[in-house]
Amino acid sequence: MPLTRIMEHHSNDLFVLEFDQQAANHILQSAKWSRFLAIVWLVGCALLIIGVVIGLSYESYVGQDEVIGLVCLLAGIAVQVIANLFRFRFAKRAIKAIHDTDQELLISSLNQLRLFNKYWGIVFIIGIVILVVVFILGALSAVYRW
Amino acid sequence: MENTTNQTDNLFDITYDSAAGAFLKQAATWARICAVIGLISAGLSLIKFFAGPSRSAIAAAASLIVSLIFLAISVTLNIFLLRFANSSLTGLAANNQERLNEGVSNLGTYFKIMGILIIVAIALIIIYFFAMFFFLSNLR
Repeated sequence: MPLTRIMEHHSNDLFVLEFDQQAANHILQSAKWSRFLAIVWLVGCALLIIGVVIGLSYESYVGQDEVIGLVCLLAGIAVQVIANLFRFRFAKRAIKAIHDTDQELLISSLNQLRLFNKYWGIVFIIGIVILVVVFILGALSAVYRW
Repeated sequence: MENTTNQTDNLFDITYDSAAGAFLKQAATWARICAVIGLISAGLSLIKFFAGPSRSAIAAAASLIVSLIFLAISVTLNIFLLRFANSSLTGLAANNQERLNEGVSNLGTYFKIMGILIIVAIALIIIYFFAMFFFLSNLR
């Protein structure tokens, strides 16, 4: 659901729970550590890509196994980069929102946190599905070989 | 009087019943899914370790220690993530400010532990490179 529609949808709700100083401190702490983690991961991914490029420049022949390994590595890097972009956006917006007491920015930062968690949830589910498929294929090939 | 105090405590004109609440609720729901998957996979990796092929006593002991360290880290992280999810969802559903703050606090702790672990990992990598450098320079 788009951000504006969610905001309209909830605008008539009764105000009961408030965003107090304690909650702000906790969000700020989460955001600061998140920013650190996101930067470290993004720098790490960039270093890995540089390492791969340098490594490939020394290779005269790249076999099938190396290509599969490279694709898996690049897929892993892509997964981490996307996740950490969500995390970085959450952190950046949350810190600015709390410093400037900006309501819309805070809502936007929580949206990024939601996207970050949703993204990992979907990645984990896809991972489980792949594992199950591999397990079934392995079992089937074992049965047919038997 | 109590209402006045609460209003002055509120940093923003928003409440958790607004869009922020909707986003936090979804974030907590997905966090719960991630935490449950993480805890189950931690349990499965332990089963896999004990059901795996037999090794020599020293290799098995070393492998067990490393596995237990990673398992403890994974379980601790996922417990904090689960506590964030459960407390936040309960707080939002029951309009309980304390539970909600407790949930957000757990999220902070979760990211803090991850940050400290990353610092430790970076420190270990730097120590490893220095050790390798000194080892190789002594060989020449």
